[in-house]
Amino acid sequence: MDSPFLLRKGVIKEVIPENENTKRFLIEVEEFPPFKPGQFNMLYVYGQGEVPISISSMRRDLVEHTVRLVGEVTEDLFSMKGGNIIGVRGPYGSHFPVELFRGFDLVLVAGGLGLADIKPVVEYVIGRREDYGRVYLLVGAKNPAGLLYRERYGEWMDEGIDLLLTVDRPEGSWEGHVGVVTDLFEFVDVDPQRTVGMMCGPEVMMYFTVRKFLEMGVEESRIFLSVERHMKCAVGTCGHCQFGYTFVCKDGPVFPYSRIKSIFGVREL
Amino acid sequence: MEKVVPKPEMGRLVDLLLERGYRVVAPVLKEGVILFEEVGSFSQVARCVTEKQDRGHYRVEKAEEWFGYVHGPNSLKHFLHPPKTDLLKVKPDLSQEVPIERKRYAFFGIRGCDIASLRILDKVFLGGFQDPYYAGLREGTFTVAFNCTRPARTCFCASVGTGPFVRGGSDLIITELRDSFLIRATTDEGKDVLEELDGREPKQRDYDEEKELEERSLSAMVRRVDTRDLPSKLLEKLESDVWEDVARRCLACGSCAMVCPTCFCYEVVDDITLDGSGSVRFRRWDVCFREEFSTIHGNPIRKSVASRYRQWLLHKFSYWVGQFGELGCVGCGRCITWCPVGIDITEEVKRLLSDG
Repeated sequence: MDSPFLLRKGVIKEVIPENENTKRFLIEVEEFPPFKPGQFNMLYVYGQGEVPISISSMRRDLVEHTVRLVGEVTEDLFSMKGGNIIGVRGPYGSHFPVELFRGFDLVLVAGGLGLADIKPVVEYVIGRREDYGRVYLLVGAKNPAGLLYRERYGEWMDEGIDLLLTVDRPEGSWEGHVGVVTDLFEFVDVDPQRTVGMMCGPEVMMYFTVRKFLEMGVEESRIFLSVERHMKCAVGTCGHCQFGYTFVCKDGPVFPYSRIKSIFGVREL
Repeated sequence: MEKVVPKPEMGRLVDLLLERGYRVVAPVLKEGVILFEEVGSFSQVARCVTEKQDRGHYRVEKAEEWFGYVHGPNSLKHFLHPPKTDLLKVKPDLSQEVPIERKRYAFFGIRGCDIASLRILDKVFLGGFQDPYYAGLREGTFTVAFNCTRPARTCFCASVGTGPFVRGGSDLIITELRDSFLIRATTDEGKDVLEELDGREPKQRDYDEEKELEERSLSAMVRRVDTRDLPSKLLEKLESDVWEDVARRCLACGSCAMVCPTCFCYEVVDDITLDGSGSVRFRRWDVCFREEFSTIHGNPIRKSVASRYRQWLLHKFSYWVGQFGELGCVGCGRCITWCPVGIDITEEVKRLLSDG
């Protein structure tokens, strides 16, 4: 019986700044197992501890993580450069089950760093674009600098992704939409009976996004959310990530809305 | 296999377990409290005492019966999921060593609630991802369980179906009769040990006496919880005012979680040497009453004490069923006895069910 806490060695190959508090890390991990869009890894900084971070790309040559500076472990990560070693264990958790919905329209919704979770779905779909109907990607951020991966947007649109952007606070030369991400639903034209919604972002954003989907008439079991909770073990034994009757680390982080309906949106749960 | 053995044979039973290489853990009387501890002989085992337990109250008194008590604050989780466990020894180059401890325990003098806690902890640590640290301490465990004839006022095991009499899941099950013990072996290992004890075939009057004791025990149990549809009924009480009311009394000290035989939550900590040459990753018990327990990005999800008590109570009586397929409460009542302000989980469940 192997310890679930054993770490793989990861060599940081490249660090790409996304904005002032977000960086993308490309990590070489030997024999990293296959993974699916929406899954996460535990990243370990020697002597400091671990943080759960979603895998932000389907690429297989290097493991990509997009990290926001929020605490002690990420602070240490931010001081790291190419050649530094970190520990990696994973992949963990449920995924966005996009492979089950060939022939469907997709509405993908991301708020802020939530795009890191949704990006692998976009990449997966682009790899087999003809399998899907219309594919919308709705992205909201606090300000234009909060819109991640902007250099990829052109390519995504060329591949048939309907990309819609909005920011809360326009800054600089921003001429696009201003407002919350749910505003963008007015530009979405899909058949609700043949639509799947997938989202990741702050809980309040997801709360209103779920309501939009329900208003549209999308079935509860075809609305998928990625939930975030405190995590220590990632294998369902430390108890920190409990979200009602689920463990976010092993039952989630991706849930169909129908599974968490009675607990989602309840304050301080 | 069943046998009626004279009382002094109990010492032989402990000796037999020690001879077979088990680390025998048994209730001992220490500073006025009954505690499970490793023992080297039967003479150390708590005998001829009983307990007076009530909300926020615990006293030991002399008694005729040898084992007419239930349990003090600690439980089997202290041995199988200890307060602190090393998980990984890491070097700066990320070379790693997994320190797995192996112990073969015999738990003597445990109760129906303790047997149930083993089954529940097994589901947590061996039901999904396999936890080798727990497995190393759990494999080959031998159990000697006693049927409770003197439940404490805080006990409510009958409500959750774990006691007061043990219905299996233990190698040996013992009922203390007036001047002998009726012992049942329910496993091959149990039979093997029981065969070595002197005794006789049970007679009808032994069964009659046992039956009487069970009835006395059941009628002595004053607390109860109505578990019918409880998990789903409680899910409808997420916004109840009762939570705020409990929060006015609750100190959020976490004592209830510490003494709970099934509370398993832990945090993981890195302990790095001063010169930085090595780090030990260890786990230690954590409790959902701490604000930091739920914190992400510096903000606690459960800011209020009300939400933390709700998490604790609902985990036991509702969430656990979704997570592991049965209730997380074994009805031992430790949380009632050891709560410094005397909050009674059975009372709070009643209030929730009658609220709104």
